[in-house]
Amino acid sequence: MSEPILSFAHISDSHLHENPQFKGKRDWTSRATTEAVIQSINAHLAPLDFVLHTGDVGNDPLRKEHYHTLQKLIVGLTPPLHVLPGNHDHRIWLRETFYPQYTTPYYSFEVKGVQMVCLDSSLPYRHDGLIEDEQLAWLESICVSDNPLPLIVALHHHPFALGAEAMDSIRLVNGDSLHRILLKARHRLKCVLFGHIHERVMMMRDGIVYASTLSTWYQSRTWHGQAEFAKADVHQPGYSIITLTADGGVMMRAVPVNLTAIR
Amino acid sequence: MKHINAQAFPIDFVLHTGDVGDDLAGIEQYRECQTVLKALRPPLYVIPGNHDQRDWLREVFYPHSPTPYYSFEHNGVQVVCLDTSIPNQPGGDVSEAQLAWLDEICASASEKPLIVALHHHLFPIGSPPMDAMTVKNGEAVHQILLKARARLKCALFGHLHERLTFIRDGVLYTTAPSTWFQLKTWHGQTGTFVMDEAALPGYNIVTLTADGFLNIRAVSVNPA
Repeated sequence: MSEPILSFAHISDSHLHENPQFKGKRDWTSRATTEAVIQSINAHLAPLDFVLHTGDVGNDPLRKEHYHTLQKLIVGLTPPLHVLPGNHDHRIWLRETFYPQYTTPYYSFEVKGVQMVCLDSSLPYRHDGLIEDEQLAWLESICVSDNPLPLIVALHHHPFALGAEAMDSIRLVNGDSLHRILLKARHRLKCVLFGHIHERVMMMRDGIVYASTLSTWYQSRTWHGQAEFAKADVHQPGYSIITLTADGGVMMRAVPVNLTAIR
Repeated sequence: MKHINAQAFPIDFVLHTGDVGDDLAGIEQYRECQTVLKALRPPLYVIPGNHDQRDWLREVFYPHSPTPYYSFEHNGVQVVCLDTSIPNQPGGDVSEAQLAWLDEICASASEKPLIVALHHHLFPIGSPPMDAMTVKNGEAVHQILLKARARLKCALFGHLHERLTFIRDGVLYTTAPSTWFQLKTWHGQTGTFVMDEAALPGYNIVTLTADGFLNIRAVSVNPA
């Protein structure tokens, strides 16, 4: 039996709003479903080293103070939280609120001998994504380095087309460039984690696994040949538990969250 | 089955990774299963699980194969269906004869995209009740699969009643949830099986694209 060396929860797309009653066109408020996810993570029976949020923490906040409100909500999480910007976030306000110790909206940190790289694929006032040249150069310096640590990379947008027109129109536009750089670290790259699509999809390309997690709010579904956005039949939010084991393997568990506890 | 039949895009086939039946009394009961599963619009491929009787399953669902393990091709993709079942035991094993057969496939010069299917988990997941019934020689199977890494798109399994993925040496192993009830496991778990009351049945849509990509979409189904 190979022992876990690191275990964390991957959550995404909370779309928290300064108005706790905000639910858009959905059946539930993003506040209530995200609180249910937080409770589920806090009740997880194995120790978690941290929680990774792959963007859309907020839902187009109009003022920096809105992130303070959201931060207070997320403080209910027992493990430490790491976030990165999504297309519905304001990357400067997000960074100043959640990770002011960094000077850029993209950053890297180490936990238990694992290197985590959090990218910023957001573009101000746009829904599609891009990793800009300066950030790509920073990422490349990490990927070609002789650092032997296991590596996990996270970003908001899906890096490759899903075959679904509407969703693909808001994907990462330079996913192929990102992939070529990541290949340089393939020997130590454990997986790439993303959000944005509100659907559980795994993509495998050249031995690299790209895995999304569900939204903590509502779910979508895509299919090959799809034109418009479509909501999933099941609204249920969820998250993933990612575990790295001493033998170099990765395990991902999909955890569903029961909404019947929500009034 | 209704959900799969209602999918908006074409599905080439349905793959069932075992425990088609639940400790059935005879081959006639497998014929009844087949009648139920005939409601599926796409063709169905099955493999034995620990709750199946592999000879009856084979005779009913794939009598053209002389062995409970087999391989087929669809749209230029090779799908290898393993038999990890051991009669009257919950755990799994891949027989020597089957390992040799698999090795021949994995060491061949074929460049066709390859998908491997099996029932049991090859590696322990940190849950004692579940890990008491892994594939005993899972590491040997993994080493053979590595020989085909260049064309191996993924390995699909079941058994756990939980959505769980392994990534090992660039190979993606992933489950589908049960079409019935779900369990939950965690590292350091003790005691017996734990039901996951929040989890719904579901399935995966596995798509290979012309550029060599693999996509796996998780679909949940609300029985209500």
